[in-house]
Amino acid sequence: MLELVAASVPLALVASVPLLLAVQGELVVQRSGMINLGVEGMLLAAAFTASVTGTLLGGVAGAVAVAAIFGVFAIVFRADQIVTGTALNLLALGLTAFIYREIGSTAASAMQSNVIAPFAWIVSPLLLALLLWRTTTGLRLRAAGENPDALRSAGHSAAAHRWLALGIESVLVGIGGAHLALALSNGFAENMSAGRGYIALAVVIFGRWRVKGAVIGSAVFGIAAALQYALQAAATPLPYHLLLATPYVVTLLILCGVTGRVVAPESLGKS
Amino acid sequence: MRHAAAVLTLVSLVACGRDEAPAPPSSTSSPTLKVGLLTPGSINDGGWNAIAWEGLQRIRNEMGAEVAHQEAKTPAEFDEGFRSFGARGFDLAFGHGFEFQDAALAAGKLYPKTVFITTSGTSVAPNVSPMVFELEKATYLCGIIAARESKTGKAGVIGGIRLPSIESTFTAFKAGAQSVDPKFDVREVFTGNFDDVGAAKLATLSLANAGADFIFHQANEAGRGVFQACSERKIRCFGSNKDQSGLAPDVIVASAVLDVPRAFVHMANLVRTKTFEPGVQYLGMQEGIVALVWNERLKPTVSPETVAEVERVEKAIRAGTIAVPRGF
Repeated sequence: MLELVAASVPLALVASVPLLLAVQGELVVQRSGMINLGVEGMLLAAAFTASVTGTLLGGVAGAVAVAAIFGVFAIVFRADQIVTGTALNLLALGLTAFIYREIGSTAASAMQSNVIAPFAWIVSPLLLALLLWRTTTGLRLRAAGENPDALRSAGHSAAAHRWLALGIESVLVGIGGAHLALALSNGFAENMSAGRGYIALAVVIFGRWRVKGAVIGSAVFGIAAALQYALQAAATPLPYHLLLATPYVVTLLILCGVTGRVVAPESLGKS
Repeated sequence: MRHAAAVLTLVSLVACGRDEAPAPPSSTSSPTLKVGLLTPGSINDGGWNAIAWEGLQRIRNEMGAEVAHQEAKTPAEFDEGFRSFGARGFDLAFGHGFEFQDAALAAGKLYPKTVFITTSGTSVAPNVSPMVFELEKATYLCGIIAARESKTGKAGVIGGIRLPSIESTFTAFKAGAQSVDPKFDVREVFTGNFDDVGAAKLATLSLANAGADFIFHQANEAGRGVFQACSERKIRCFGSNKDQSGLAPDVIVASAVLDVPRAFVHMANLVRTKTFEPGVQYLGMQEGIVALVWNERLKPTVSPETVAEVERVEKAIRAGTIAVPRGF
């Protein structure tokens, strides 16, 4: 068993990079007071544009496009964030599938992922923690999520900080989408984000809106997912449905076991 | 959504109108064959429905038949579609999916002169039959290649969802491998869906860790993740349903290929020549619908004995002297 775990960890660290980056991006956005359900669509769009261009930057462009639409509706028009996010997910799913069928296969050359995984697990969480808890900009960004009126009365724009948060999320999710399309796959496949954005939303809550929690949550989920495949491959006499559910069950159990009150940003989801 | 559906229906109606233009004269003197098709979704899906549409086009082009197509999504539309084909005196009507069986049986009673064919299924009446594709015959050969060429004595198979049709190809793969070496170990992994390329890759890497050095997949689109993992670990694999060699030319040894459009033409020929007999229509290698296609680039890396053995077994399967087991 221990051997299986040991063998699964390196696989999990690479395979859960898109989830981890989506979790970190969503964490920043939620800290600024928005729930961006469209993170799933951002990831899918990023995977698509990355596979068309074959570059990281292409992936970021796809994520930026979706985030910009979300920002216009959620920040400028103050539309309902849940509805906007859901609509964007459907749009991204339909649009990427449509264009993909029109242009045919996008067999991009595979990318070596030995830089992205350390970035996602070490560099990015450190930078985010520094930004959110050690800089004035981070304090204001969090203030936009706790009490935007206080931020405004101090002479700062809540909207500007929310745009900044969306920008950070776009970069992270864009890299995650590119990793999904170019490192985990050798090109685009329809709906290839496969619900990672939704799991990211859960992991943000699981991690209590903290960077440390986000990293641990993604790791637990990712290792559990890799471990259940190792168990399937080891011909474990358990129904595969049960094994496939393992990551979700483990995450839920840990969520139940973690003590302490869950404190969401005060103004989360309010326009 | 409703508007989109309406537009799609309109588009398909326009398309049908164009296709029903005077057909080229048929080689036989009999009146023009009329063939209808019901698909459960858009024929632009690049997959299941697109291949049926392609089959219908081939019937029109190769046999000079008059063809019509309708999209039918609900049981009421299945009935209506089949009945309209029957009432218009069609010789043959296809319902492209397991779900069309009940409607085919009902319409079959009302219109005894029309032959109703469902793609997969079990329901049979004097003028109603399902066609069942025997991809198993090609996956059996993949199993033989894996067992003869493996250095570890282990192979892995990866499925999206454990559907009977998928399980059945795995059963045949195992049987092929174990016909070479009864102790050959085939490990099964399912990912739970056909989209998640990352999960398919993770599953493949887990199989590689468990010692498998040949992989066969039935994960559709997510198969890309399988190929990606095989390329990284330098282990060999097989393509499924289509000749997939182009997706990973350095690791795909061969593909188990299914020619669905040809199956449609085959059935239309049976009806035209009045040689159709009711019963489950098993379509496989003899009919040229299932084949093992080598990746010519990697074929030289396989031992000549294995290539010869695969040829020998393929002949025996065609001749019926080797029975390939099915999962159902």
